Amino acid sequence: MTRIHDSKYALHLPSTRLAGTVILAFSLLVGCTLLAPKPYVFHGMSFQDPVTAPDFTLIDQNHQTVSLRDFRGKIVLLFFGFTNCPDACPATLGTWSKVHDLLEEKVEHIRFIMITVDPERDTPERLAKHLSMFNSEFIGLSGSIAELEHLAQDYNAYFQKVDVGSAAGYLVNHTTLTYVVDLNGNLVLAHRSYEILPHELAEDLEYLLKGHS
Amino acid sequence: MKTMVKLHGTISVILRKTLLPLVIVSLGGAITIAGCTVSHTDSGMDANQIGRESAHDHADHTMSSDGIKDGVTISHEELRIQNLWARPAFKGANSAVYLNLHNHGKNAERFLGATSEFAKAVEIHEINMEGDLMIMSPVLNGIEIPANGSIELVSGGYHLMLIDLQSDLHEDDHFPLALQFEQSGQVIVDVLVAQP
Repeated sequence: MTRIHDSKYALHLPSTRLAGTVILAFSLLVGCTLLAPKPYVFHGMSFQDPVTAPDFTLIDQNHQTVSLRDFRGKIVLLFFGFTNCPDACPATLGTWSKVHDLLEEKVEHIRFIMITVDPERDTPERLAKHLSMFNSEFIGLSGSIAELEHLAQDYNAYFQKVDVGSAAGYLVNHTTLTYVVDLNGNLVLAHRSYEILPHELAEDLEYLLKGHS
Repeated sequence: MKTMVKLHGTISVILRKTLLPLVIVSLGGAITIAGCTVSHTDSGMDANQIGRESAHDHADHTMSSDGIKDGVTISHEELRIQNLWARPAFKGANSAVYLNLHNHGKNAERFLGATSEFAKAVEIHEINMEGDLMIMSPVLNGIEIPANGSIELVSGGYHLMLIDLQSDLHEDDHFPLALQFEQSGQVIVDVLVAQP
């Protein structure tokens, strides 16, 4: 009887092998599909053809000369704003402040730079005081109007003084993007101030910190 | 003895038929995990970390988009004032105040602006976006609050601009602000300084 059963089993063996192979292949396929990392999708807007971020040399809040090339090997966040700006600029700096905390020790590889679009009023001292309300490690840069206009143009940014009869004096309309320069000095991303959330910006930066672009 | 042999043979067949595919599937799964783990381990760790960040940041997002949810609600006649807060700023700089105004009345109300001893001037300003260009302009004739309707002064929209602060405004400070309405007159509120 045992042999009969054995022979029956032997008869079924090829089909069991086939079934096993199919199951193995199926489980490999399903498993790999489920476990394979999905391609990362940036929260910010990616530049289709990343270019080397236009370099600049400006003066920081400590009266020191600063160039973008000084930060090669770091990720750099750039924003064009001004200290008298009551809404978009502090909203951006507030987001950066949260990002700074979220990244913990990784933040040593990131530089946060606000470039003023109001050099007449934004002295280095005023920039220093303003930025210290968010994070004293943030860098505030200023230069001549001509230098700043040229730089804004390089980044496809824009700013314009307007007199709208405010007691605040003139206001400055400006683009409100945060530009991200990767570890290799390439301009790779831009984030909208009113849309990006701190954890989203932090995720994009963490991804870039791994050397992706 | 014969029965035992038969029983043993039957169990053997059952075990082979049921367990073998299970073993194959398990092995397949193990191979799959082993094969996919190299690239997954890295992102898996990050996913955990980002998860913590998301949870940590959730409250912040609620605050930044809607103002301070737990802010004081002030009722005055037909008006309800909520989510009142101001941005930190130093003496001589500008700040912004945000709030929601609800009019319970049967008649429309008009929010005319505000004054404060903590600022040289207070103006209603409006932000408009043209693509990525931010355009800010004063609102000269106030904002209508429809009968049984609301207006919101939030980041990226309307705000009260505090011009030339007379003292520093630090996080958690409070300061008085006198809101002006066409029908309801003056309503003095206490504004919390917060970093959303």
